[in-house]
This record gives sequence, C-alpha cells and structure tokens, in this order.
Amino acid sequence: VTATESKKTTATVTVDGVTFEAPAGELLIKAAQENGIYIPRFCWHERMEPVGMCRMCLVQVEGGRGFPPACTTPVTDGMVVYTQNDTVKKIQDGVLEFLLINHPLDCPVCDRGGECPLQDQTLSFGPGESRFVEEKRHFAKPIPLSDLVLLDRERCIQCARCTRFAEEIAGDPLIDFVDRGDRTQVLNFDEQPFDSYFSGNTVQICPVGALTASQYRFRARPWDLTTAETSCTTCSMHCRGAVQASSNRLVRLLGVDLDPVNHGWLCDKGRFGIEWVHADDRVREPQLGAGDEWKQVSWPEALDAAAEKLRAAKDSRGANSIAMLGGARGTNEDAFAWAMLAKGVLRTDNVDAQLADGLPAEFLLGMPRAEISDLDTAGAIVLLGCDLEEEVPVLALRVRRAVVQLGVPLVDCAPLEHKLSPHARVVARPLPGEGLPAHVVGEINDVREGRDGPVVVIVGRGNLAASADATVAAAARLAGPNTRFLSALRRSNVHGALDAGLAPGFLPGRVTLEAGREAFTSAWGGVPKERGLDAAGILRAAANGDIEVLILVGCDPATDFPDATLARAALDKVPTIIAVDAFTNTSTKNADVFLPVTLWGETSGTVTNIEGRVQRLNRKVAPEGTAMDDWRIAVELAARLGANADLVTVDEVTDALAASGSAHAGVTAALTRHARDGVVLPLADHRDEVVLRTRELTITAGDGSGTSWDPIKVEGQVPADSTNAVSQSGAGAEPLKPVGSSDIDASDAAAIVAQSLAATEQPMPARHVWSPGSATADPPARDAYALRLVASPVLYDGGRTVRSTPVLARLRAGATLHLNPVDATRVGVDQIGEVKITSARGSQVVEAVADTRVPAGVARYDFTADGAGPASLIDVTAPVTDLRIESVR
Amino acid sequence: MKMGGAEYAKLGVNRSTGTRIFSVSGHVNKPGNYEVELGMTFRDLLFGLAGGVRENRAIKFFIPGGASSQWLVGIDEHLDAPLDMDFVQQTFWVMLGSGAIMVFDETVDPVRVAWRLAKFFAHESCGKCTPCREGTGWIEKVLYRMSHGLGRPDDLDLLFDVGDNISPGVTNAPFTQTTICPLGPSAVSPVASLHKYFKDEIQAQYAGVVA
Repeated sequence: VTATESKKTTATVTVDGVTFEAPAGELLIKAAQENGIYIPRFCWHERMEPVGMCRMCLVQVEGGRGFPPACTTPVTDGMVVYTQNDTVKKIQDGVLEFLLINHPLDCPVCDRGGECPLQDQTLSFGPGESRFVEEKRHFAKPIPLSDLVLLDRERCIQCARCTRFAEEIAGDPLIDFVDRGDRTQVLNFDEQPFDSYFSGNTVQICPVGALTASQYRFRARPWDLTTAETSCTTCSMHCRGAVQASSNRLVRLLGVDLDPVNHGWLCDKGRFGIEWVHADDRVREPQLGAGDEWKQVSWPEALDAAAEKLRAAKDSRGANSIAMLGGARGTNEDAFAWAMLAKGVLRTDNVDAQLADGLPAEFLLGMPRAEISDLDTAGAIVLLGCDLEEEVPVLALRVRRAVVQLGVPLVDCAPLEHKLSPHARVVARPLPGEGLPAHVVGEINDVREGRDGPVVVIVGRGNLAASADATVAAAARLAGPNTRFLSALRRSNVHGALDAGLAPGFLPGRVTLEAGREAFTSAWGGVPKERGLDAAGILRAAANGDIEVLILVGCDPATDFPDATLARAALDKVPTIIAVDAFTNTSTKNADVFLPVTLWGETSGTVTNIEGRVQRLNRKVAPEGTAMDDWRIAVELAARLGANADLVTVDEVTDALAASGSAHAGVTAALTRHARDGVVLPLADHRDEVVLRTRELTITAGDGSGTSWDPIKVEGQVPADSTNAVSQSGAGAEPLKPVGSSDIDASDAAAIVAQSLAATEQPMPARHVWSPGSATADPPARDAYALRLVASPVLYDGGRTVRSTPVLARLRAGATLHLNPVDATRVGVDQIGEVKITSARGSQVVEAVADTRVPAGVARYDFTADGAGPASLIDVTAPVTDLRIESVR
Repeated sequence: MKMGGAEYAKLGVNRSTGTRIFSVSGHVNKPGNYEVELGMTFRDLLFGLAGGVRENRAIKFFIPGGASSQWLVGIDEHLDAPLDMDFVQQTFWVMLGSGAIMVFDETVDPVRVAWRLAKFFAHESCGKCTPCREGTGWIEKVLYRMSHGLGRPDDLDLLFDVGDNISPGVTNAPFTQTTICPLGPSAVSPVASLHKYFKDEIQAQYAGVVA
C-alpha cells in the first residue's frame, strides 16, 4: 500500500490535541470515541442513522464556521476539532440546561436514576444550577404505549431514539412525534398500541427514564444490581445479553452488542422472559411417584431410583426399550452428558432433541452453513418456510437490515405472508407439501445481479402440519457451490444438542454413528448397534408398548408435539417416565421419578446458535431449591450404571466435548471464556474470527458514558494474523493484556487458537456431510373442498416462558383460524365467525377470521404449544394436513 | 421585465440593486405596500411614502425586515440609513429580510412587543432540536412574566444569555446557531434588541427591587 493509497482510506484527525487516524468518512463522534474521546450525546446511536437533533455533540472545527454536530460530521483529513474549549463548553452547558428546564428531576423515583445519561452528562458536562423559574410543562403520566412499555412524557427529551428504532430497526413504525415546539411528544397512534416484538429495546436505549418496562418498573435500583454477561437462550439466535439480579432474583436482561449476532438488540420474549425462573410452581426438590401423589425424596434416593428403572428396563427388554426426548433446553455440556448416558452407557439410539418440529439431523448437521453476518453481503437471501419474527425474531432484524438498508435481494418462499414479505423481490408460495416452483431458481439468479456473496437460504419449519420432506427437497434444489444454509429452528439450544449427539444416528461432533463408532467405543466403551428412532418414531413405539422407560429432558410432548393424539397415546402407555425438568406439565405430572434441574441464569456452560457459534452462559443466581445441572444428573446416573464418567466441573465437560467431538475440536472451556464473540464451529475453519476479550463487560463506565443505553460492548482484540485485525482493532487499541484466570496466555489470539486446537488434535472421525437428494415425494392432491393446514409456531405461544412470566402471559396468542377472504366467504364467514374444521384426525369448532395475508387454498391455525389449537388435527405420519371446513349455524 | 435585467440592475445601490416592495405597517399614517428603489433611506420611506407616525409622535423602534430581524430605533443614525442590505447588516446587524417593516411609536412597551414575537416563534418551533424547542418556550415564558408586571431584575441578562445559547455571539454578526435551522436564532432577535436598546428602561422598572 503506497502513501497516496492509504490517504484515501484513512484521515488524520486531531481532537482536543490528540491526533489519530480514522477511516475516512467515519462520523467524528465515533472516530473520537474509538480513540478515547467521549463527546457527549443523547440522540446518536451507533446502530441507527444520525439525526443531529439533541445538539449535545456540537463541536468546533478549525477553519469552519459555526458548530457542527459530531454525529453528522464525517472526518476529513487534517481536521482539527475542539470538544472541550470554552466556546464548546458554553454550548454544552446551554444544551443541558435546555434539556433540564422542563425535565421533572424526579430522579429519586425514576428507574433510570443512577444509570441515567442525562444525570451523568449533566454531572460531567453541564451547569450546576438551573436558572429556570417558570412552571415546567406537564403531561398525564405515565401512559402505556403497550402492555410492556410505559411512557412518561415529562421526562422525555425528544431524542427520537425510540421512534427511529421502531421505524428503522424493527420496522414497526407505531410510535412517532406529535405536536410541535415544547409540546412535542412521542405517542402511539389512536387505538393502536406499540405492539412490536422488539419494544423493550426502546426502553434500553432511552437516554432518560421516559420509557420504562412494565416488568422492571420500580423493581430495583441500578446500584443494587449485579451483572453477568451471558446469552439469551429463549430461541436459537443466542443474542448476547447482560443479565442482572437483585437479592438472588433475575430482574433484568439487557442486550449486549455482539456484532456477529444481535447488534445489541433483544426481542421482548427474550428480554422479559426471565421471570419464569422464579415461578412459584417450580419443582425445587426431587420427587418419586407414589400412586397418584409424589413423595419428596433426597437426591441420592431419586438418582438411585432412576438408575434402577433404567437398569431394569435394559436388562429385561434391551437398550432399545429406553428412549430419551428433549435436551434442547440445556447447555452443550448437558446435551453431551445426556448423549454419553444414552448412547455410551445405556446404548440406546432412541434419542431426539427435536419434537417433530424441526428438520432431519442428516440435513442440519451436514448442510453447508452460512454465518449470520453473511446476510449483509449475501447475493440473495431466501426464506424457506418460516416466519422469522415469530420464530427467531432478532434474525428477522438482521435480515431486515440486510434487505432494507444494505439492498440484498430477498426471495420469500414462506407458506404465509409475513412482515418481511413486502420487501421481497421474488415471492413464491407453494401449497404445503408441494415443491419449490421451477421458476424460483432462475429468478434468484436474476435478482442477484452480479452480487458476489453466497445465496443464503434460511431454512425453517414454518408449518408443523406438513412433514419436513418438502422443505428439505426445496433446500436440495437450491443447493450448489454458492449456496449456504442458515437454520431458523427456534428451540433454544437445539443446534448445540444435535451437535452433541442428541439425534438418532449421530454421535457428538456432527459425526454419524458409523463414522464415530470406533472413536467413541474407545472413549465410552461402546455405542448403540444401529440407528434409533426419532421423536415421532419413539412416540409410536411407546404407543405400541415397545418403550419401557421414557426420559423427558425438559420437554412436554403432550402439548409441544405437533401430533397431540399420538403423544397422549404414547404417554398413557409407557410404563416409566423419568422427568428431568423444572416444572410439572401434562407429560410429567405422572412421572415416576422427577429430577429438578437448574434453568438459564442459574447455570453455566456453553450453547451453540443457529450459525454454530458457541457462546458461554454465566450463572447469575443460586438455583431454586436443590435443583441440579442436567449434566451432573446425567453423570451421576452414568456412574450408578457402572460407567467411569469422571467429570466433576462443567469446564471438564466442555473440555471432554472439545476432545472428542470432531466439530468441537479445540473449543475448550478456557477458549470460550476468553473468546469475546464466542467461537464458530468448527474452530479450524473459523480461527480468524476469534476475538479475545481484553476487558470484562462493564455496564456503567466511569467516564460519564453510561453504557446501558449505548451499545454495550466488550473490549477485545482480534488475532494479529487475521484479515480483520487492522480494521477491527483500531489505531488506539490497547496492547493485549491477560484477563481473568491465568489458565491461558491471552497475549496472542492466534497462538491461543493454535494451542487449543493442538491440545485436542488427534485423529477425529470425519464430520457428516449432507448430500442433497433429488427425490421429492408428491403430496396427495388437495380436493376442491378442503383447505391445506398451515400450523405455524408463534412467538407468544403457550409454552412455559410465556405462561410463567406475568407480563408475557397477557400477550399469549389465542386459537384462531385464519382464512383467505375468498375461502372464508365460501364457508359463510364474512369477517369473523365460527366454523367446524375436520381433519383425518378429528374435528373442532373454532373462530375463523378473514385474513388477506393468507393465500387461497390454505388455512392458518397457529401452533400455540399448549395442547390446544391444531395439535389434535395433525397426523405426523401424513405429508400434509387437509381440513374440511363447514359453517356452524 | 420591460426594462430588461441589465437596465433593472442599474437601479439601487451597491449590491442591493433594483427595486423592492416594502410592507409598512404599525403606527404610520399610511400603512401599505411600497415599491421603492433600493438605497432610499428609512426616513424617506416611513415619513415620506408612509406618511409619518400617527399624531406626530416619535418612532420608538421599528422592525426593519420581518419578525426575525433585530430592531432599529428612532434615532437619526438609523432613520437616515439607506435601504441597502449589506449596509444595514454590516452596520447594525439587522436585515431587510422579508421587507415587512413594523413601526412602533413612543407609547409602546417594547417588552410586550418582544413577548408577542417570542410567542410567535415558540409556536412556530417544530420541536426537533433542543435549543429551539426548549429555548423559544423559555424566552416566551420569561417575556410573558416581564410584560405582565412580574419581571425580575436579572431577567434581561438571563434572556440574553439564553439567546446566546441558541445563537452564540448573537450581537456580533455573523452570528452562529446551535440549532438546525435559523428559526431559533430568529427568536433571539427581539431579546437581543431589548438588551441593546432598552436595557436601562427595563432595569429602571426594577429600581429598588431586590434580585
């Protein structure tokens, strides 16, 4: 790079006498911040377009006239800027005084008090006293913008962060400014609450206490809170977060800005879905079934009883009479320990972390993967069979950003119209069960228009009333050298569980039973003889009386399996149920042994998200009762069944997985502790992306920059040999320092990665690779009087998180059948009315509404995971579910 | 149009060429719209064409170019100044602006006029940027108090400093602004004018009042 070329890409800037290099065109406020100079601000947010409204960041530029805002001024070469001279100080004083004249100064009772940017910046940059003696402006307050967010218009400083977030980021422009002058206020529209799945973010980024969360309001003071960095596991996106507790109760989750994943955002289900951990009806002690009642017992008694049931079943009817369902709720360590117990000790392969709501493990574990950040540079994004906002909401934000802001073409092949649909360049809505229309492949190539990036296909399961075969067939049609797949399966840590072997036919590390047989036989002493059953197969076998013991690991097939009839038949028939859960539910209320487990917030370990990124969870509160970590229960059971499973700490389990799983090679506990952004599997292919943290997360900084409202970031350093090293580290980056425990020398990221890989480098079984088949089963023809059922998962379903979190329980979706207006008219429904629906499995009377977003020929009936709704209509063995609809008079 | 551009440009003075229509209102005998050649003096316009002040009173002050402009007063230096945009700006820091001239005679309370103007600007503020949204409202409230007999001795200095926070260096052209658009600085013009011409008169009301 010659001197002239480098001039084009960077600018030499002097701010308050400090000279540094910054990327040319970067905003002054950001360039200064990256180099340690904090220019005060309220309206500017790094993840949103600047507006220059609050005027707090006005600076003086040598040779320029006036006072430009640093948030709208790009740096230019040779720029000399003053942010602290007398002239600028006078302006800062003035702006802060203006902001405070009508501010109520009710800090002692304000949620923001103690972590308030207005407080902090007044202290750092503002005048000591107000000269305002007039009456302040008054508004009725607080007013609810929605069930989750309340607005105090007197505290509002009109920075437009919330309104910009709603429009730009969330795509829910439901709040905006009304009136003018000093009556300017933020409001929702008449009769239209701020019902956005992302509304909680506005509370986090509000620079004052104007927006408060109905859940957190008056619950704690910031200085009482203790914080742990963790990831949200409500869905499989694993947004980074900072979980905060007061008096051993989780009270708040804040989004942390992890550039590859969530950009600081959280969805409301994740943000507020923390209270269920402390729900009154949690099971806090082990129980043994005794007739219709339970008897509280000690852990040794419960574990002995469980082990005895398992041993007896294996001895009397063989390993295949034991089955395990679930495991997607826990950590990778939990999943690995369960896989070891089931496959290595019990030797059953009847194990499935999915409940017929996902995609075949053969596809998921072997597909060519995209990373979430590939969306930004993709040639095109194809949505295959899923409404992202209902399933992986923050992924919908990332897709929205890529499509709306970065211009990536969107191809929408979801079964129903959804919020991203208006942005799609190509739309195809084949009937459930039918293949991808032939023209789509050609059109994808057309809309790419020479964009270099890969086609990223987001594959989900948007319809639980149709088998996954059509989706996998469509994926096969799109497969090619320049196609990458991203799963949109929602279930918590389902990808980590599958990776760790909780799928029939697989062993930990994305290897098949056959490929890993030798290695795992030597590690575990043996593996199952042949491929076992998936969830549907297990339940069918149970209903036939072929399953003696069913282990339910944090799952409730009776309400959460698409085919409720089959699930109930199986649960009625199976002689012994061992429940590993935190709550009783329809499936576990008659369990013979109940082993209470820790939940998110109470446990540490690692989890793996949709792109294969392994991140560390941290424990924040002590577990309720004597609840035990899953992995420890599995290890205890294994020991009782004669295995030599010498795993004492969760880190040892992480390291055991790193040592034995092909995909996990090198992903040691030490590395996951130090890798700021986590580690993408397999590490050897993604070593350049490892960023070592150089400082632990802090929520409030000492320099007046309260960070809970600005993007919360953890400082880090990328490997010296990485292609990203120069752009990411910045000129002002500190030299690397060892952090945390001294188990790893954090002075050179590249060396650490090499060291981690070397520690586990031994011949590993080959990872499974998916081979796209060409066969597509033709679905049965739909007769003219039937509608094809689309049972899509919804965000606020009847699952435990929503039910046991009071603020979310109110939002729970009801059971309503949505029909295209033409189809609705045919069955006598004008706008809304009752109809009788009949499938091959059964019939119901349900409320139907006419909905233009539903294509003709299909019926939308949301899957609410509570046993009601479409679950009693679906037969999982059928490729599709057709409904007869009759009017009820 | 009939004269052609070059011919038309020969009218006027300096860079202020051609003619302009001034809309004279207030306490003059013949308010109305007058098209005059630029370069004419205020005196000729106000006392000649507009017929002088009602009942032959003196001009106390006048707004030379719309509500956004700072004011001039009834002294010879101001009245004999030419209608020359550059001249008035460079000499008195006022503008001919929209050409809307308002004349106020000696019976008028300048504080009350300033309040009425401030109320206009506070209402006009769009509310987007802080200094204008909050500042125009603050100025209006203080001037309301002052014009309704509830003023305080340091109100004028307070107003002047609030104005300076909206429009730093407001009395020293070229002024600057902390706002996005010039509406905020416009609202400061009446305040700056009060401070410049009527400080003693206003302060006299508070003689004996303890701050």
